[in-house]
Amino acid sequence: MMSVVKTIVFIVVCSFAVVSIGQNKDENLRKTYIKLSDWKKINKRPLTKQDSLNFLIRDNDTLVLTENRIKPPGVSVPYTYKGSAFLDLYSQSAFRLKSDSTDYKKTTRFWKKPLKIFFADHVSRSVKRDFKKFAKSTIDLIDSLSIDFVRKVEDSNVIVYYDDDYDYESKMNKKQNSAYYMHWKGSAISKLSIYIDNTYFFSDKLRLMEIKRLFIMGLGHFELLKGLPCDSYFSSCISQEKKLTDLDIELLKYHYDYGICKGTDFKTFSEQHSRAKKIIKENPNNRMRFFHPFIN
Amino acid sequence: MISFMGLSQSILIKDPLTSYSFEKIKNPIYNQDSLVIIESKKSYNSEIFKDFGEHKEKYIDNYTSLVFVYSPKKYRRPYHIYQWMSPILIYFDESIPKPLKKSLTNLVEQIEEEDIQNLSISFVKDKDDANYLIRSTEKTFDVNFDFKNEEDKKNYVFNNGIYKLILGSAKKPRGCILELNVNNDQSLDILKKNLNQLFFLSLGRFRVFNDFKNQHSFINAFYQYTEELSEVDLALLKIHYNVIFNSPITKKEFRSILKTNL
Repeated sequence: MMSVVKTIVFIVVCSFAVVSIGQNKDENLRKTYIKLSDWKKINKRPLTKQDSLNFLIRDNDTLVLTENRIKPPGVSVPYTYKGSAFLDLYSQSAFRLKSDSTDYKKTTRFWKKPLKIFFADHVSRSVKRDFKKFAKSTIDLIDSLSIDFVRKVEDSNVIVYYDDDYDYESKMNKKQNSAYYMHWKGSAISKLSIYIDNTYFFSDKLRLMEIKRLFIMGLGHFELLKGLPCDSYFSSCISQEKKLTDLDIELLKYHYDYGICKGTDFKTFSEQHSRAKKIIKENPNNRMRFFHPFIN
Repeated sequence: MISFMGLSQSILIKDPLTSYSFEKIKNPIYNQDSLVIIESKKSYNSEIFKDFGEHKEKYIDNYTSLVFVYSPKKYRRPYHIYQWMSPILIYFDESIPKPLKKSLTNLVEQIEEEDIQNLSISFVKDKDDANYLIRSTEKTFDVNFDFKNEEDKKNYVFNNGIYKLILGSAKKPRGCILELNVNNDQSLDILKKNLNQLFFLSLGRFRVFNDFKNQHSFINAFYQYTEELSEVDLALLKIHYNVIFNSPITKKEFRSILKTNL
């Protein structure tokens, strides 16, 4: 007699709809369910008796069996599990939480396009060399991001410049001795400028430390966290030379991990984790996947 | 609802002596790694107090006067402790005369010989490798308080030079520019005294006292130059760098921490 291992794969489509696909592995049956509210958005016709008979109730959602659903181009990524301690630190930094009513609506910011870095004239050769080494090795840790260095400012989306250079970003707060300014559309960062007052930071050592720090912040418009060890790039303690700690690497990698929907607000992000964990906890064979349409 | 949802206060407590490290453990439910936060307390090295012998209380009093204002009203006010967290890398600009370089080098060697916890000072030959720049200035200064005579005023440390800390968060220095006016007709001995005193004060943004008894201590406003680093000043550095505080601290908290470590 053929054994039937019941595995349910839940797929969250990151653009709008929540779809669940039930699959009996050995029977090779494949059924696609869609949330009732999403079904109504897509279908103009009323529900039939047969539709009602196929209803599936899951996590207080009514799911409707749907036929011939055309899958848009995109990529489906398995859920990336993260424990609550990590998610707490990540959320505070990436969603810039402030403990107020606006927290749930906040979104993260991240790069979708490859980074193309341009150095202004006064950045010394040794700073360029050491920064390139650092930036490349950092970006190499992130699967979904790449980096290049360009000679023409018009080819770039990241500019590093000093007080002595042309002011490449008119909105930069130059009252500060160092700063970064970024442009974004939705959640996607489109341009980053890093400014250093090279008189205040009088040596290449100090300038490089500051450029590296601002570059890491510019990978996600991160909020610095109080209490983290001083050598962490994510620590609000900025008094010591930094190194990429294991936690920093994990935070950066997760920021560019597609095992959860990207660009959602904090409420959705929290709910998706909660739902994914519940599904896995119910049955270790259950799987959760996140579908990222290419149109996004 | 999962535990992190809506929890936007840091799960890491901001405390002057608490530090954190992170480890991963296997989560049995999800069969995945979970991050675990390990909390630990920094502690004082009480050995230094044994070395102070009979001067222990005096040195501690000196130190608390130096970093906390001793008004009873301000007993509970938190103070930033200015502590260098990175090794100090000094570069002398060419404008600094050789005898001055030698004098400061001698002072630094004495500090380094003591192997003070959390404090490291060295010299670099390239300005671009430095985080501490010493250069001359044409600036003149006119700091005035109850000087006994014109000579005292003229020789006063902040009337011949200045240091400016490049501060990071929690007032921890990450760089410094020390400027000394070497062309204002001061004798070499006065310039040596001013340079060494400015440098020492920059190690903790220490104040100076015009009624401090020890004339050879850098915290005396009328410090008298000596090549030897005084025991009093050495004790101040040892207490100051014994433990690096993560956040501001009140005099009350400081006293309480000392009490448990003495």
